[in-house]
Amino acid sequence: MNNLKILPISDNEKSILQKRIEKYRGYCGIQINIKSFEKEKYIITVEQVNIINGFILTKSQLVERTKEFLKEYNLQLSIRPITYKAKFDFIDVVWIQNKMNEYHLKPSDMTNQLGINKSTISLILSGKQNFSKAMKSAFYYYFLVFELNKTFRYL
Amino acid sequence: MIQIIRKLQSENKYGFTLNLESMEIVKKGISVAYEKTQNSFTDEDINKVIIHATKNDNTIGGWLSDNGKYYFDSVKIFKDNEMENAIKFGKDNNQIAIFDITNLKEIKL
Repeated sequence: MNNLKILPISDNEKSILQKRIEKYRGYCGIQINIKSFEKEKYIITVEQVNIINGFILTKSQLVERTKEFLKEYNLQLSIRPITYKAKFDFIDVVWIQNKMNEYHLKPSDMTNQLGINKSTISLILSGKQNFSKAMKSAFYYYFLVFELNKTFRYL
Repeated sequence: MIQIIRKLQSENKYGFTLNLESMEIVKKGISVAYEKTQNSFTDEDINKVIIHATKNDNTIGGWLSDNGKYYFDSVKIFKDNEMENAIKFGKDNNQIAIFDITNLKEIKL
């Protein structure tokens, strides 16, 4: 929850800022939090809480957006960015097969493009081999490339 | 349709933008809300938002407020190279901000 009451702005401005923060989180997946006032600076956290379109922001991009967001108030800011915390627990064989269908991929595509040998791919797709967090991560970002291609390159 | 919207709400904790024609999540462009459907959060409101959207740009946006309510807007999506038009449309609709979904930026009006 935002600590807007510490800001030296009017109640009307706080109300508008609150709504901007909520809508920015909803439409763009970025959460700005006014935390506290320490050593003459307002402590702000900014976190990418949702991946809307595959655009994963760096810490510096989060800081840049927060400065722009709050610039009209002319505050001394200490901005603490938190990059998106990827979770891969949901990735399983069914998810991989759905993605393969969605992007018309064959096991041989993945063998070449992911650099995983054919027998390992077969074992994974048949459910006979569990896969590690690192491998789930590889699958996640592999399919993300295809999603970005679909969204931005009209393929 | 309301059930579908509510399901999307539960799957997208903080918010989403949906094209009602394709039933796909909007992933690019500049989102500008219509003034007419502001402050919509009940099922009855959602119905009004859907009706407005189907008569206009077939797109709705949803977002979670810190008061726990999930609000819905009928929105218009402008292309990335239509920023001037998007800003004008936002001002005409008394919006405080519009949202560049492609670049994940807020444009304060």
